[in-house]
Amino acid sequence: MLRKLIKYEWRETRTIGLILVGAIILATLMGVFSIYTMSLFMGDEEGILAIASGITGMFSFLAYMLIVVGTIYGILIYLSVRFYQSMYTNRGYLLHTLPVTKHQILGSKILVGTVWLYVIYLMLFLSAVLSIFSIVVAVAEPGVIPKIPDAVGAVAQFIREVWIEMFGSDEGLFLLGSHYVVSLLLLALISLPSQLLLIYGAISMGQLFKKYRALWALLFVMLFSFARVILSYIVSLVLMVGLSLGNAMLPDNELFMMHMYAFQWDATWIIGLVLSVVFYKVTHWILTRKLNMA
Amino acid sequence: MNDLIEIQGLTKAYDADHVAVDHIDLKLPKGKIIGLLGPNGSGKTTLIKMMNGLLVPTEGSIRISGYEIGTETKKRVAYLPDRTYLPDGKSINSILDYFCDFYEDFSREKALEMLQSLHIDPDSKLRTLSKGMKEKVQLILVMSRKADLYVLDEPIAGVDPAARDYILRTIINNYDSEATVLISTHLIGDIEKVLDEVIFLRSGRLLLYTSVDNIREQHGKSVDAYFREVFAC
Repeated sequence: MLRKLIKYEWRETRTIGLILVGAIILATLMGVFSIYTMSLFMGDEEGILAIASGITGMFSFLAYMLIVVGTIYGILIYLSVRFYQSMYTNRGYLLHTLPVTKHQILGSKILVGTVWLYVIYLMLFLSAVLSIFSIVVAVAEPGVIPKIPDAVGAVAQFIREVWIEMFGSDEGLFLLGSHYVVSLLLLALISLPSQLLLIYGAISMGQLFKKYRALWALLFVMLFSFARVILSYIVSLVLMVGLSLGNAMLPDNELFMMHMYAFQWDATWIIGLVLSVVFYKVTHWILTRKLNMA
Repeated sequence: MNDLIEIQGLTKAYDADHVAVDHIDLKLPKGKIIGLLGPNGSGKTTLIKMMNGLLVPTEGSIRISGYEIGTETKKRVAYLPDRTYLPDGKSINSILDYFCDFYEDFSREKALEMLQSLHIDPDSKLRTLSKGMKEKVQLILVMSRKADLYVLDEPIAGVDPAARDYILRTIINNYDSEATVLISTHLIGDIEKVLDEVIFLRSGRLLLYTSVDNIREQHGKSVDAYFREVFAC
């Protein structure tokens, strides 16, 4: 049944999801085009075409940023509204009378929502890489462009060498490098579904009230988001203090300080993970024990 | 065991001052058409919602075919809510696919047959249909299942007399004789002829559960007349 729920959830969300992906592609192409047109008139500051392309470029950049911000919030708002409508309005009558468990209903919504968040953020990342690449190409001398693939290879080789030199030679430094990579990876993987679960939990808690349910939900989103930041700081502090007390693996203070950012990431993903479990349990509890379809 | 539904001490209190269903004990058999009758605010819809897992009881329990409300009961209960709940943007065919996927007892052929009798194109989107037509489509979806229990909340409210006849015909012609049909309404005169038993609710309490024949024999009145007498303001 979970498979069937996922199938329908995917079908229901794909139109908006693909529209947002399309918007990112369009914005990226627009951005690349405006960078290209601006580069054509570079050095001709007083020409009318240069001014026109400069204005076009400025507006294109503004539009690009609006679309980026719009898609980041757009997908979250869309998934939240969809969750609310399909669970707690008249449409919920269809979902809650299906012969499926609440775990399956929640699971399908979280899985599909998370996939969309990953897709959108991955697209935004690729868009940013492409935009930066376009700027590099635009400001480079014409003769440099054919050499770019070689340059990319050289940069990759450079990073590899720096990595080996910095982290490969010393056990402590290797640990530091690994710490950064693992923390960042876990943060990227956990923070998106965690955000989704926070919103779903807040919407569900809003349903416990008789009036102004949407307002309560919004209030809970803000409250929990704030609490999550505070908790992350506390946990990162605890991690740092704990490590400094048990100082065995870190021989010097400088290295300890270098771990700091990774500790903050650690704290964020740990809190994200814990809160995800809490919000999942709360939402499931509300659906099984407190469901109140008006 | 011939009982299909067992309700024990069922209570739903929205708050201290508003008890919608108040300690109801009831056993309903298989193979009957039962009218759930009562004035507005008597707790009919609340009771029905609890039977379908849309509301959680404050106290007490409901068992259908021996199961507590959950996945197993939802496999066996076909429910028609008192509102339109299907997404407007969907075509009827896609909703049929949905029901085929989730309900093992759903018959697409039966649904298409009933749709054809109403000249409804299965490719049409719900938003193109009138409210009355949407309600009929919902009824068709419910009656195309081979369920143990059909729970119909106000199926004939707000429709014209011709549509009422169609709805009642659809219910009578399509339910399994082994199944029970529970119909909530206050338009008693229209459905009285199809009922085997009636439940009277008042202010969330069970006032009466008896057969239609019993009312006629004991009180010498139709159910409609007796209802008016009992619930006279």
